[in-house]
Amino acid sequence: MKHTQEYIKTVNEWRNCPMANYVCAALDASKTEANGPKGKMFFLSLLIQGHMDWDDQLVKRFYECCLCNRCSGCGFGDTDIAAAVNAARFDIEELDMMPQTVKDYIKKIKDANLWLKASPVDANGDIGFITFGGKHAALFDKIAKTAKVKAAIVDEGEFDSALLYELGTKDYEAVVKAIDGFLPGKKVVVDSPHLALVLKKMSYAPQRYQTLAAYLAEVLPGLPVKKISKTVTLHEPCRLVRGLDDEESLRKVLDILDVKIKEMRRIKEDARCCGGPTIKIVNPVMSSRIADTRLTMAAETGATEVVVACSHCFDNFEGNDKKLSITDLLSLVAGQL
Amino acid sequence: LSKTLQEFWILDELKDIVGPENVSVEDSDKDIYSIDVSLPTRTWADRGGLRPRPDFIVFPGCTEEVSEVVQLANRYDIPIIPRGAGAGSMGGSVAFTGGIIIDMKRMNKVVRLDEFSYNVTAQTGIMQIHLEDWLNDRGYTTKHYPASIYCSSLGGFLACRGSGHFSSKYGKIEDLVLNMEVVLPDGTIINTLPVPNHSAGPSLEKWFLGSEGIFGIITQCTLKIKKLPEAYRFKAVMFDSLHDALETARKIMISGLKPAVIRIYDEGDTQQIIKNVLGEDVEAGGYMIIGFDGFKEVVEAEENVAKKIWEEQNGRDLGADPGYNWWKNRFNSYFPPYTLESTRELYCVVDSCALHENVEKIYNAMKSLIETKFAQYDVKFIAHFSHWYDWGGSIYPHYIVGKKPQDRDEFMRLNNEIWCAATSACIDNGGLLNEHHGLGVQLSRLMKKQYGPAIKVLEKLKLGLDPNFIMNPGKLGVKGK
Repeated sequence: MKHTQEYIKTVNEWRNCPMANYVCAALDASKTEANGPKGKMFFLSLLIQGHMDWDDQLVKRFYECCLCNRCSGCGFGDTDIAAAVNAARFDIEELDMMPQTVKDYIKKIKDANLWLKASPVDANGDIGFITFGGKHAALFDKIAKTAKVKAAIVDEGEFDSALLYELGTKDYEAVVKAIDGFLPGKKVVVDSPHLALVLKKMSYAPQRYQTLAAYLAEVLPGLPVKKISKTVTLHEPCRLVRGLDDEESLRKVLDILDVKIKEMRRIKEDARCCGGPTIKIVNPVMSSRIADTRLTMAAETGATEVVVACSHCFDNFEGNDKKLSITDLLSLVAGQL
Repeated sequence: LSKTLQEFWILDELKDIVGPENVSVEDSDKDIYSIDVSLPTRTWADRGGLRPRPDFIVFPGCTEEVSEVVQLANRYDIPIIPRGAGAGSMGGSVAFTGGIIIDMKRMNKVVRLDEFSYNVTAQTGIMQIHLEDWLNDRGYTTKHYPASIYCSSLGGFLACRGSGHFSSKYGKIEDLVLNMEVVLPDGTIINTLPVPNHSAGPSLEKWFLGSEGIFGIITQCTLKIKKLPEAYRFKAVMFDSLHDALETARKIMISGLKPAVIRIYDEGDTQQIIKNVLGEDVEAGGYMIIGFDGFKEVVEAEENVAKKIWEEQNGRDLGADPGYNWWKNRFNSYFPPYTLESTRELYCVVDSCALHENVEKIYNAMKSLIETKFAQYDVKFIAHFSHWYDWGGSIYPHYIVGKKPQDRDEFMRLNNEIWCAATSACIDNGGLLNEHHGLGVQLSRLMKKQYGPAIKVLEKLKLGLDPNFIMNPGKLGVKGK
């Protein structure tokens, strides 16, 4: 439990406190108190003290968490419940007790991860861009060219490297090191808010990384942007508004495009999780319930279009049965240049 | 072996009733349901005690499913323990003798909003904060703002007769209830009469309010609602003594004024809450927060009349800022890092209520007894007085043990001893066992002392409604099998 021990203050403060359960998407989707922040901290407290042992069911509980960290915002101290759950995953890895589905998923990420290859990324440019999923490289390149900068673009392929960290495997260290070596000294725009948060926490040079939303908010005012003048609802990524403490950039970008927002419940620092991505690996039903709840909130606004700014949110919402179209921020912006 | 087979049988039937995904026998679930927020259950677990685990946890989605589970429990003679959000502080929703936990969290829908007669009907598994937010979005409020609004369900408040911060004007939860749907211990589903004030026989809903699940499970409830008020006014007032503050509260409440809130803090609690949490720099004495809500002109007028009363008791107006500071930050002390639940301290709340003539007497008797009898343990006794009515008020004391035993059993024994001594002193001076947390198992041992021969009324009622004694056994101190 050496990783979890680092968060002993968090564990002690929350192990008997149910005051953050009401915001927990995992608890709401499963209804069991075992999945709430109190439940998880209670278990960690007993595990640390030796009053309880890990078993397969308990291990699975620790992956049934979005790490969205809304719970920590309920308190007033500097505790970090999501980090404690994440730390427990590292302990689970060391005990070789990861669920097989998680092990299999990690293997797929590692096999595909180009940062872990013998010859890592070779690129040059004025600015870097790291993305995954194959859809955003060309879109970002269009924006960079319009802004008259040469972008060195890295598409990680199918998987977001951040998941190595969020799933609790030490391989993330090599990835962060390789990313730190990419375009040294230059600004790097990070598409995934998950990876941006990992880099902010773990990089040797966190200040050079910028989220896509922040970059767009910075660069768009100087570009010839066609206004759209439409109304949407906005789902904000938890890592952006909470982990990276940025509630403004995304809204500023939409404002520049003259896109009006019909606000849904649970926004900004209270933004509710989309249900992805790590929880989906062990419990797709729960992940889908969380997504459905968020989309219900979106539908309540009367809007028919939801703008998202994270590819994990996009994947979790796409193909929903609420007749809501899901629009990816970068596609929206690139389409207006 | 036969027990294992029976467990298989019961599990199979439960899955048929609520769906396989809504029954759990997972160890992690059994472990978390072995505690609530009560000091005994969490300390026992924290110190390695054998956890009182249920055999099954079910999550029914409708009243009919609750009824079927209860009928099953009767057939197999298994205890049923209803559970809302698991935030009780008396062990009331813990399965001390095993059995089936009926977790109500799936039954969390708002069923109907009546904007003509001003009421809302909701399933009782709804979290109070979610119900309140839902109403606020539509311009309404229940006016039920308990400290545990963020972690407790409507059902929990009904089962334990909860009080909110504005109870002085709007009443306790039972005063907000119009009618309820209840599943009786034999599975029968009943509805109490549509309105509570009538002459069509006794008020059925009263039997279930505060019954902590021993007479049935409240599955749905209709509550009165109000429009969100036009204005609030808050003030902090300082008195030379706690006595002066208490006397002011009494005079205000019997005057016919309707303050939404009066909270009085003794010196210890002023230090604990007003200074440490709210950051106010105050002197020693009796510290009062007083607040009114409603139409702007009315609250202003009410405050002016109240001011004359507190000035008669030499109350010094500290202004509106500390009053609004309390209003805006009133829940802070219940969240980490301020909450004592976060610590491994030996402390408990021994709240009570009484007629005006006994409020101060009870406080003095409890404080003197606890700080004298348990002096060797360096016990601190602090209190506030937060729910006031025309007939009396509440006393909300904490005891905090400075020198606590390290041994688990000693720790638990000392806690019981202090708690029983404090509560006995309270009863001996005209107070009640509890004001708004319920009794659970923690205080059930004092039910006979509180009720005297009247306990037989509850016992007969229990026998008639629940002849198999399956409903939440061991709670409320009512005799079982």
